[in-house]
Amino acid sequence: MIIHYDPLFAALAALGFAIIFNVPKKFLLFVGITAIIGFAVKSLLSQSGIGIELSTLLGAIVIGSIGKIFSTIYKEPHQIITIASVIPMVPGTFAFKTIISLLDFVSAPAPSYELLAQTTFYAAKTGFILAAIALGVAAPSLLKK
Amino acid sequence: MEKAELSREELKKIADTSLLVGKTMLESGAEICIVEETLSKLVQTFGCDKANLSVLPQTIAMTLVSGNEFRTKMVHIGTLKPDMHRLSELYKLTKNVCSECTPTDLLKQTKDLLSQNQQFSGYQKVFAAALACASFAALFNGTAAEFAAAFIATFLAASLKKTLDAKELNPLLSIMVASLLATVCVGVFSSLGLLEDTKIALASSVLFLVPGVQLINTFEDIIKGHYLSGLARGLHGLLISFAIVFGIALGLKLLGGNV
Repeated sequence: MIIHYDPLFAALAALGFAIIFNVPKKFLLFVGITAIIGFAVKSLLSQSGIGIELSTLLGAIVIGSIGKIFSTIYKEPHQIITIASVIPMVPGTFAFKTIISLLDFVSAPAPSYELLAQTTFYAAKTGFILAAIALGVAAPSLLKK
Repeated sequence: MEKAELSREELKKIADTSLLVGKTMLESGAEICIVEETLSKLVQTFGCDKANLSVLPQTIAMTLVSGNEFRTKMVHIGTLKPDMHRLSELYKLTKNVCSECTPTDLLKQTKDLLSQNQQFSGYQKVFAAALACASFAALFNGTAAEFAAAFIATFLAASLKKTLDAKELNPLLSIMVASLLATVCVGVFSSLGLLEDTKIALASSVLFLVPGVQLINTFEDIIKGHYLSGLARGLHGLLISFAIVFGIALGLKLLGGNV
């Protein structure tokens, strides 16, 4: 059975991290909703053919913008909701594939260009997606000096 | 009306209070800019003419000036333990400080805040970590078996990490051991033939160790011109990632490639 409730699971992952980061209880719902919106934007753009990196950046910008509005209304730092909300976009599988490729590469009896290319590809993907997440969240608060 | 010059003793009280506020904010996961802004406003509200601040991930140094009098103090910053509730409460406290408030009042309020219990107990956090990682397994198109495996592996690994952190083990070592345990747990499920795609459960079960706060703050600090702080936090995040990788690699080695 393959589970198909992605936005719900994105919200659950974000809420889990919100509890780990001790987000105030009154803002937990905010975190869940923000995660659903950001993840939905990322998934829709990704399915429409835009690359995973760009769709992640746009999804993270949406979360960062919600965080900026939240920070203006509630006079709180935006990190309170944004950090937990972007966690579901973390490229876990790419990161894991990078690790496995790297381990295969270093434990190979002779240098393998194929493994090196594979490791570099997954590492670059992971790096770019992580950079897109961080940049996207920070972008709205960088508009002002 | 001209401002009265503050005495050396008054400057000391302001510095002690501001440094405690800044230290707590940084340890709770605030970015450098927010700490700088908060401390600058705070010392001016308390009557200082000028404050020269240097906020780094490991240290805050400040020189407070009032007329011809000045005072320089610095404080060491401890380990980062993301705590958004504490950050939010401190932010509110400092926003509500008025010219009638004294540094001693704020120092007392900050110390009261530090002595408050956490909103969530240790095991609630462990359960939340397990649920979050299991949700990741579902997001990576995992089956119900992978969801359950990630939940159990994370629950055990997060419980172990909580115990090791309480014993004040080196944080990187505790992350490595937790990552190792999560990998071995998933490996056991896999060897029992319960999992369709072991990689999904493996990748999900260590995600609770991801340095999310460092990652976001690194970029924000660098883009806002705090290069040193950004790079230092980035390096810390990278070290955490290496600790996770070492844990997984060791786990896979112990399982003898049966995954």
